[in-house]
Parts: sequence; structure tokens; C-alpha cells
Amino acid sequence: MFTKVDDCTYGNIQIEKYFAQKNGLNVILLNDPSVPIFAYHTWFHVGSKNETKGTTGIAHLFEHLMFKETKNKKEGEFDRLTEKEGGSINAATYMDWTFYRETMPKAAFELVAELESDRMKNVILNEKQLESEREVVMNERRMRVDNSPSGKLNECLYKVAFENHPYHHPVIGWMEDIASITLENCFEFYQTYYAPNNATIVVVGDIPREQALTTLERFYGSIPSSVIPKPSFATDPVQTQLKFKQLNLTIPTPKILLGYHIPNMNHPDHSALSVLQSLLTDGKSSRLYQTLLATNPLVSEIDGWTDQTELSGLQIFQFSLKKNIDPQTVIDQFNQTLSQLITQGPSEAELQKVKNQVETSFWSHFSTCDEKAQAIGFYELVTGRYQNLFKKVDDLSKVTAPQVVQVAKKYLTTQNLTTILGNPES
Amino acid sequence: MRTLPWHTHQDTPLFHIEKQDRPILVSKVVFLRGYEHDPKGKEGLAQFTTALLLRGTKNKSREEISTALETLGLNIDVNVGAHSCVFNITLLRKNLNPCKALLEEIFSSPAFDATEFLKLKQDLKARLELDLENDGGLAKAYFNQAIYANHYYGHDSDGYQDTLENITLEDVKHFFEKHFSSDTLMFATCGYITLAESQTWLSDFKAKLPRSPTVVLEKTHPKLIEENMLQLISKPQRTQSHFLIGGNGLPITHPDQDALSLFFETFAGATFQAQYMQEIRVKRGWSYGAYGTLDGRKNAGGWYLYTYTELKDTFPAIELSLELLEKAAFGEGITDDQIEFTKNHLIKAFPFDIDVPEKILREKVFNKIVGLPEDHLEKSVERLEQLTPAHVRLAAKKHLDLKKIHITLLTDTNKMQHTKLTGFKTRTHDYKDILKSKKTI
Repeated sequence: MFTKVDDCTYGNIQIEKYFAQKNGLNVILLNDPSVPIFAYHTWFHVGSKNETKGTTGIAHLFEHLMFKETKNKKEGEFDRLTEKEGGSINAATYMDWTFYRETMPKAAFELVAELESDRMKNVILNEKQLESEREVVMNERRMRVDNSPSGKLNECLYKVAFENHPYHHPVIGWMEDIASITLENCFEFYQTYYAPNNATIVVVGDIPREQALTTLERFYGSIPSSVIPKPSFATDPVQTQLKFKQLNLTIPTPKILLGYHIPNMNHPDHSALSVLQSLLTDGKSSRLYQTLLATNPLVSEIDGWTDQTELSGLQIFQFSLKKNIDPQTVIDQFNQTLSQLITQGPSEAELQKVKNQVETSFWSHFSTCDEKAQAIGFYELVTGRYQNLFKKVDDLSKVTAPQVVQVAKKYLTTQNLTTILGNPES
Repeated sequence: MRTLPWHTHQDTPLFHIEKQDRPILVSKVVFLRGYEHDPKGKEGLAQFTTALLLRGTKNKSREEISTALETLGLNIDVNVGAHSCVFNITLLRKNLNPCKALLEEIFSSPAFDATEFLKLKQDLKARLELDLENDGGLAKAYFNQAIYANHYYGHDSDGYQDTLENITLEDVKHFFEKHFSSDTLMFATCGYITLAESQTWLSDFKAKLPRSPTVVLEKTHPKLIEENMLQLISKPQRTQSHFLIGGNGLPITHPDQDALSLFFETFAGATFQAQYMQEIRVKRGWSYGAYGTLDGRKNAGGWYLYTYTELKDTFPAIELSLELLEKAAFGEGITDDQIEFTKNHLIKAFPFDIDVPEKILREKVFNKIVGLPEDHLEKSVERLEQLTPAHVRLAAKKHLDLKKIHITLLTDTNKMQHTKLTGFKTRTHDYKDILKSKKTI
């Protein structure tokens, strides 16, 4: 059933990709016999970006429902059978993807393949289960967003920065949508997106290739493909002026969130943008840490991140201000620091620092079977090629000073910016 | 699993695992002195000292030392515990020698600059205020203060705004000289490094450290909970409550620790088979997560159940939690089959506790700090296999007292229809009271 598509070697890591012509299932394998365990990830190419107005949050809510019942397994059986074998299970949903993971002792490989293939095609749902998980998800939203200042700020940023773009709405969904999703919505979602030709299985651990492919063929071979809708995502017009919003929050001092529109992960500018953000916010020698916190303490906390997404995303900078500091002062200092970087360009030492930090970070997080499977699956889904996991490390180390300056000038502009200011309620 | 032994090199404990699968290595530089040595009225001093240590040396400014470390790709983070300060270091194999040199400089000639001292003081006080934003963390902090009342475990490493204010630069220098020495040092490495290299590193590092006298601390015990108490933490604009239900427990070395731990894993572990998760989340949808655990520490212990619910479900969830706990501990709330299921799950899951050297390193170092036997990790499965449901039930009955329970409930008290619980006295705090050292818990 499976034919080899390609393989990839990086140091002593060897990965192989297989494809089933019969039903479009992708399989990626990394054999590691050093410990008698494995990680099994099933990545579906669906996330919150595929949701429609009125049913935001359905990708995530449905992820919860996948753990309930199938035609062959009663409610609770999935958890019981995997935990009986000493396994750990979980799942996650984001804007571009949903994945389900198990980490198990090697003897349980066939069991996991059976359970995962079963719930790919045979999930059954009832109102009671939907209502119960709806409540759970609403509580999850209260925990992550409604009662969390950073959650509220982040949600507001994406809501304001994007209008029609599918990253406008949160992955967890708006509360009113979570409350109104129906069983019919869920079935339709399942039948549309949960199919082998929309899935990539990643297996990392002490499972030899032959065993993996033979077992997967046995359990997935009879699952037909589905007609996956050709993705079509709304876009926003290019932003031409600053967007601004204020929120009142239960916080001791103000917070500022700055979000700049940036291209997707496959775009040639993405690596330079990642390096730019690292130079500005990663570590205590970063430029913003020095100018905003160490030398002249205007803030007590700095954070920054660069979206790694399939569609265009944001580069974000977040600050928690010290007492009695005017937010405008922080923004002015941010702009001054950015201008200096643009004028001077980063030094060779700074670029070497980023290169070494990237290398340390990569190897620190490419350690357990689960971490490896997650990294492989993520790059395959978001960039289309798992090999980009290693290419990214190389690309980041080759970014030059002129490239950093060029992306800073191009993307970190006032017209491209959305600012969210969180004010203490008192 | 065969025991992975600690070595002794020049009288210093050294643990090492070599695995050359990635071009990095991890090191733990441990000083066996922690916040139990914070003087009264100056809680937070150990944390303060470790933080200031990384803000410059006699030859390098704060910026220069940060730049030097980060340029090499070295990550360093610090855990200040009650009994230790652990510097967790990850570095690239190719930069081992310059990293070693920098680390030696940091620990042998810290600047303890007066300007940085003042800045750090403000930073740490600001940090305490930022912690107010995390409802779960805040509830846990109040809970710890209650079950470890009048004890250092109650204040954790952070201190309070008033105690941080009391700390002087001389206090920091004195704390460093007294506690960060070759006599309190412990060392652990794993990854792309040989035993011989680790020993050389340890020798070179230790040679740069001063000696310090032995310090004998009077052993203290927390004030035990004497009655059922509901502690309300009032925070505005909440649509969700967080609560912990718990009490005094066992030190981690207690012979009943494993049996009581298995009780909590069965009743309230983080799996979907656990009864607490089933009742609170799965059946009722009252929370995204519900679990319980032992909080065993070196010189004392506690236990707790924790969850977070919509406001209207808060008191029903508390009442249900108490009911379930009583049945589980004193009735037939959990079955022998459930105990055996959990036990077998933990046994089969053991390979995940040791699948990478970093996890083994973390466990071995922790176990040594708290005084567990050298083979505690390696004998985990053996100890589990020896436990029976009878052991588990006996441990629960013996060590859980449902008339001496503390509940910390963080919520918007203005929106709650009632805040009384039958059989519990009530005490109320504003959520910001956690910033102050002096308060009645």
C-alpha cells in the first residue's frame, strides 16, 4: 500500500516518508531503537482557519469529542486501553492543524494503530457528550482567555489586526459560538476533514519500518479517502495605518502588545524575521532587554514571538510596564531601539549569538520521541515538507545583517502595526 | 533497572551520564543551601542572591556577561528550592571550554554591584505583582502558606515585597560567601561529555570556590492544621474560581509515601481513569482539569486536590470533592481493581521517566537533595510492585484527616451567591495580600 516518497538524513537522524496511493495517507517514520517506546502522532490538516462564521471553535471542540466513542469502542475505552498499557495521550488544535498523540511502550503499537484508525472513520456522537464537552471547553476558555490578562490581550490583538482573514477569530472560539455548535455541525466537520487523505501519521521510536508499514496498512487500508474542500481563505486588504485598541484588565501595571503583519513560514523573509525578533527580545543581551529593562528599567517583562503559520501571521512584542511609566515612553524607546538596529545593522557577534542559540534550542527540544514527532509533523503540515525542520536551522544560521535590516524596514512599520494597550482597571 | 551511582570526586558528589546523540550537554551546578536559610524578615534572600550573581562579575558588566553567555549559545536558568540552588545549564559541546571559563568567572568573582542590586530589588518586587495575574498560581501560593504556616515551605523562594525591601547588599554578599562554596557543591552532567571531562570540570570549578563553615539549622515544623478552614481570596472580575482542598501530609522520605501517592494517583491522578477527573470533568463538564497529588518535601508534606470551575459550579464542586474524597479514603469510593489498574499503568509508564538523560539527571539530583536513597529512581517499579490495595487504603485512613482540611478558594466574592461551607470556618483576604509577609492565614 505504501510507496516511499523520500528520505532525509541530518547527522545521525534518518527519516523516511511514505504515501498510500489508495487513500492518500502520508506516513513519516523515524526509527530510534535506543529506548523501547514510541510516539505516534496523527496530524490532520485542519484547524481554526477552516472554521466558518458562527462555528468558531469547532475544530477544537471536535478534538475533545474524538476521545469519546466509536462504533467499536464505548465511551472511555480509548483512554482505558491506552492507559492500561502505560501510555500517555493528548491532542492539540491550532490555527492550521490538529494533532493527536500517544506515547506508548513499544508492545502497544498495534493497539494504537487500531484505536487511531478506528476513530478516524467510526466516531459516533450524542447530545450528552456534546453538552459535557461544550462545558469543558467553555471552562477552558475562561481559564485561558476570560480570566487571563495575557489571553485577553492576545485574543484582542488578532481580532483587531485581522478582519476577514481566518486568524481573526481565536482557536478556542468565541464563547457564543462554542455555546451554539450543534451535533450536526460536528458530524459535518468530521466527515469533511477526518480522512486519510487529510492526515499524516508520524511514528518515532523503537518501531522498525516493516512493522510500522505492515500494521498501518492493515488498519488504514480499508479507510476511503474523502473529498477535502479546496481551501479558500479570505484575505484582508494591506493595512495602511496604525490600528489601536485599549482594554481594561485586572493587572497591576499597563501592558502593551505590538503586532506586525508578516508573511507565512514558507516565505523567503520568514527566517530573517525570526532572527530579527531574536535579536530584539531573546535573552538578557537582546536589544530590547538592554534598552527597556536592564539599562533604563521601563518594563519588568519582555516577550516576543514570530508566528509560524501557513498563512500570513504576526510578529509580536509584549511588554509589562513598571509602575508610573507612560506607555508612550515605552513605545518611543521601542522605536528608537528598532531605528538603531536598522541604522547600524546587527553585528557579526549578534548573528553568531542567534546562530548558537538556535542550535542549542533545536537540540534541546529534539530529544524525546514525542518532541521529535511533534517537530516533524509540524513542519510537514505547515510548510509542506518535514525536511524544512532541518533546513530552518540552516536558514536561520545563514541570515545576513542586510537581510535583517531589510525585513525590519519592510515589516516593522507604523502602518503595518496593531497596538493593544491593557490598562489596570483601578 | 540497574542503579546509576553517584560518584565522589574530590569529596564532591558527581552524577554523570554520557550520551553522544546530540551536540549538546546539560549540567546542573547545585549548592545544597536554599531558601530555608532566608533569615526571618528577609525572605527571598536566596533567590535575590542567585539573581544578582548573574548580573555581572568583577571583570564584566551585566550586559557583557549576558552577551558572553548567550553568544556561546549557553542557556542558564536557576531553581531556588528550600534546600538547594540549582543552576541548570545547557550548552553546545563545541563551546564547552569557553562556557566553563565563563561559569568559573561568575561563581568566583561576582560583581554584586550596588546599582544592579537596587535595580534587581525593584525587578523582583515588580515580579511579585505580575504573579497576581495568574489565578491558579495565586491560589496555590495562598494554599501553601496555609498548610505550611510559620514554615519556610509556606513562603516559597520569592519572598514578599516588604521582606525584599529589607534585604541589603551586605546580606546578599554574606549569603553568597556562607552558602555558595566548595563544601556545599554538588555536580551533575549528561550528554556529549565523558566522565573524565566532567571530573576535570568539577575540579577546576571547585578550585575557584571558597570554603564555608557547616551550618546547622534548627529543624522546624509547620504549624499543623487544627480545624476545617475555608480561605476566601477575593479577586474582582472573575468568571471562574480556582480552589485547592488539602491538608498536612508526609515528608517525602516517609515509609508510607508510596502508598499514599498511589492513593492520590488512583483517586485524582492526571489521567482520565482517575475518579476525580471523571466526576468533575467528564461527567459534569465542570472543569477543564481536576487532579490531586501529594506535595512531599524533605522536612514536611502536604496533599491537595485542585480544579477550577465556573462561578455557579464552585460550591457544588467543592462539596462533591469533599464527598468523593471521604468515600475514596474511608469507604469504597475506589475499588481494588482501580488501584491495581493505576499501579500497573505507573509500572508500564516507567520507561518514559528515563527515556532521555535529562530526565534521569533531574530525578537523581532531586532525590539526592531531599535525602531519598541513591537507588530511589531505579527501584520505582520494584516499590510499586510491592504495594497492594490494602497498603493504599491503610495509608489513606492513617494520614488523611477530613476534620483538618484547608480550602483555598480564589473567586469574585461579590458575584457569589454565598461563600459559606458547612463545617468550615471562613477567613477572607484580598488577593493582593499575598504581597505582604504579615497576615493571618
